[in-house]
Amino acid sequence: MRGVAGAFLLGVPLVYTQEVWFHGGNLPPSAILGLLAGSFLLNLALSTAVGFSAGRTHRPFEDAVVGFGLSFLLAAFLLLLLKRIDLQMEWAPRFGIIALSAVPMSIGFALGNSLAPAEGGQLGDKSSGGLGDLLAAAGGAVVLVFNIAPTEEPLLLAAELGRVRLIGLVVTALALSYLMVFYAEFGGKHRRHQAGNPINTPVLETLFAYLVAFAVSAGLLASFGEVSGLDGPSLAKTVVLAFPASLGAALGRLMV
Amino acid sequence: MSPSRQTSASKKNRHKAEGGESSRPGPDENRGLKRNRTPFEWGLLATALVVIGTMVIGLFVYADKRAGGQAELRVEVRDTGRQHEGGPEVQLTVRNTGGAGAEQVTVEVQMGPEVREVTMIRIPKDDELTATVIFPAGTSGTPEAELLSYVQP
Repeated sequence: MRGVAGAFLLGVPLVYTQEVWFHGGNLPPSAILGLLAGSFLLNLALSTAVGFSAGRTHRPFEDAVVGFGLSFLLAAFLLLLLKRIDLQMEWAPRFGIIALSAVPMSIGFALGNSLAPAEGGQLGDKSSGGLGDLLAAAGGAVVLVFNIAPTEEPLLLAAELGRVRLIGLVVTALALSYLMVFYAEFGGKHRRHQAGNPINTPVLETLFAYLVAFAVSAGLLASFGEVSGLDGPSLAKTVVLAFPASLGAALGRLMV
Repeated sequence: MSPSRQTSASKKNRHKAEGGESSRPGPDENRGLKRNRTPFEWGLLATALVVIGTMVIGLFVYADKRAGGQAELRVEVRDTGRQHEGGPEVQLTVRNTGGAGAEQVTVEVQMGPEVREVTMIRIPKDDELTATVIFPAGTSGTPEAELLSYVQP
């Protein structure tokens, strides 16, 4: 799960970049194969040095293969959800788009182990949870989406995504946030499970953190003049941006 | 010093008192080198190998297809959300992902009952052309585009 968390955190900003969609469908396949070969070697080096699961098998080659292969699946899932690939399009460019999006995801997979401190953040024992966690969530969300909010991509995606995909984005964001904070073996997991604060029950904390990410996304979009009120298009843009924001919010909570 | 660091330091001291380096588990043991893979790990490994194989084979076949020298045109259309004198603006993009250029590319763009035809003179290989279509005021619906014809020089 740490690998999956790393893959999404590093991969999502790239998947929200239209040049990746364009070049993935247009780059010569030989160039993409070269990129894949290079990134596999980098994965192998990172799996040896860092890895997504230090206590697992200590088989860096196997870890690199698993991380690399699963990154293709994660990229395909995300691209399908964001309608960047679909079953109607020609099959050949699909490979290019998935492959190019999977490169940063695989790097994130290999770095999964070092995403957050193993014993929880240094302030972990001082933090009382609740408001502190939500502030950390807001900070993480801003850091991850500040470079996405002013771009065209959230607007473009929001214009093209239907209701089902938007709901899918919300559900995926909630599920990933929950798994990252309460299931992945990052530090501070037990402290969170044992916290007495009512906000720190896993489901409630996940929901509140998503609301914070949603509010941060709406605020950033409003400050760039992209949302004007409580209408459908504004809501769609906010949901699209809230997806990476919720991942940033999860990382923010893991850091304290 | 943070509590976690204190814990770590006290563990080290206790460890030394109990016999030092010789009783410390080796790095291989810590990382589980000797244990067997679980069925779940075997499953992950098999899935990853199948996916990597599919991707690599797919990209090789794609490369072979592109080398064939045929134009491959992909048409995309989207409502930009902008209005011109009350009429919606639609952006049409035609990408040539094939191995040869295409000329006289004619695309039909439809929005609601309104239909427009756009002709692009030439789209080189690995390139794209974008055109803007403005429909009359009051037109609504999801824009759709269909490639009607093209000539391969």
